[in-house]
Amino acid sequence: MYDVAIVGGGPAGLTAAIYARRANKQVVVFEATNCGGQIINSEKIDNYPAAPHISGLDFSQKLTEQVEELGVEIVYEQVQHVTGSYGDFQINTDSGECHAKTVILACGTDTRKMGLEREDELTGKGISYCATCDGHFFKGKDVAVYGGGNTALHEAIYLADVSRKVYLVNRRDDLRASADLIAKAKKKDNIEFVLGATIDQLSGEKKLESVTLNTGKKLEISALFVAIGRVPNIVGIVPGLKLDANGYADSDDSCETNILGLYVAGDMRNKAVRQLVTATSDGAVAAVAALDQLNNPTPRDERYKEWLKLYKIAGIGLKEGGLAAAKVSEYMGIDYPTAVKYIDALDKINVAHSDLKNPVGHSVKIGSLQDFPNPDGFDSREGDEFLESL
Amino acid sequence: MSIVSVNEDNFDQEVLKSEQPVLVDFNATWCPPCKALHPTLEAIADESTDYKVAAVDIDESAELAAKYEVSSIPCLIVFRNGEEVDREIGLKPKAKILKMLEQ
Ligand SMILES: Cc1cc2nc3c(=O)[nH]c(=O)nc-3n(C[C@H](O)[C@H](O)[C@H](O)COP(=O)(O)OP(=O)(O)OC[C@H]3O[C@@H](n4cnc5c(N)ncnc54)[C@H](O)[C@@H]3O)c2cc1C
Repeated sequence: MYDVAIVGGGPAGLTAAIYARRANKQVVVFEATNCGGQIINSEKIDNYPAAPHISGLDFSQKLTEQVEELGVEIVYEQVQHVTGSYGDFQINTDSGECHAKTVILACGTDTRKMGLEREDELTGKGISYCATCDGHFFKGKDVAVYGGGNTALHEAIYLADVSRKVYLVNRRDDLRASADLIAKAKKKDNIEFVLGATIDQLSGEKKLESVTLNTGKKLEISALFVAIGRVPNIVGIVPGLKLDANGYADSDDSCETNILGLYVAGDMRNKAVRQLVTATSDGAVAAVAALDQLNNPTPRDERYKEWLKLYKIAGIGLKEGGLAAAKVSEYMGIDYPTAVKYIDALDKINVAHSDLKNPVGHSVKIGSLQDFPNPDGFDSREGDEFLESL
Repeated sequence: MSIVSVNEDNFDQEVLKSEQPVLVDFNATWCPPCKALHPTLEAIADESTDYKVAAVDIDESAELAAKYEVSSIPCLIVFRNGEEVDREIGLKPKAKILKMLEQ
């Protein structure tokens, strides 16, 4: 039985592995293809702190080595299903099964397909999802890029130097990509922008020869590079896992899902920013949440209730007194994200602030209690007495 | 066994005339997923005596790539008795590659 099983060896999963392993837990990572995740496709990373200009492949290799050095077991298999519950999750792969007390899902995302007829058949025969891998095969030919985000623009700019002509086809009239990329693309005179159009049909006998747009226009091209976004990789792996309308996993600030003991990290989470820094950050947060759960056998919900009771007044006092989560976390011996959550919860109970004549006074009073009880060792009778005494 | 480097000169001998099935990896030095796939292929080559794993650098052997109509890499092709029997493109899990070889 592993303490923590991690599904996905991208930046999020591997960071979670570092945190869990350094806390001396038995950790296993399942990776379907190769450690490192989607970032291996990036030629150069310029926005990861303290590692400017590193290539995606170097980043992945360094991270993988770091994880291996710590003694994390990496199993190169695709996970098919995760079932069971906290304390005994069952993880099924292509060739076997294993058990773990907690699970962190970090499966990332995959390229979105167009959903057109013949798309699969023509993939590798003119349809590609990676210009830096396949652009070279279409030297001097006419090609198209489909999409308007950063990836699409990067690909178009790259292809402009390799191919004869590049059509950039985008559904919307405006481009989502960053202004500098758009400016760069506009400077290339062999990029033709075809905006406000969708690709409706793929044609060609043995390989792609042309695409037809919804406007009726036909583009004669040898290759189509599809860059219309990405989709989360989780569909169906975990029965009962709550997903949002787009298929991303719902979770709270500590990466907990609706299933106790199951956490989610990285690009597959429902969140606003999908980048390396947020993936690695999620990995750390999810691992710490899993460790917290493992080290405190009482379910978190129960513990919250106890804490809430005991610290209701103290918390409000602290908040009003201008001492926020940092102070609460120090007093309660809990991590910072939990303290933030705790304060939010206090807000929700909506205790009438006017009932507390002197909140700052309370906080000072409580702050001065040297033997403030440890929330986890605390019994509720003591708490009631304590509340009354205030 | 380790991965055998194959080019236009020895493709016939090493792949088409091989008695064992051969997994050929068409790759290039500038293709990141090709590099990422490499450890998986090395592991497969190390573990097996039942089949051969070969690698073709498509820049060095452009004619081979053209002959087999490779236009997306990494491209894995399984040859059995000189015939192509299976093909996959992109990064693939080890289990899936082994399945290609078993068929
Ligand atoms: C071309 C490109 C350039 C980028 N450039 C930058 C950049 O410059 N800066 C930046 O911050 N971000 C960049 N990003 C985004 C960044 O790569 C992602 O935000 C980050 O990789 C997300 O990490 P992750 O671990 O959540 O997911 P991923 O990197 O997607 O990793 C998920 C891993 O899980 C594995 N997996 C999936 N399903 C299963 C399963 N069922 N069983 C086992 N394993 C499974 C996958 O094989 C994969 O290895 C770029 C992305 C791309 C595609």
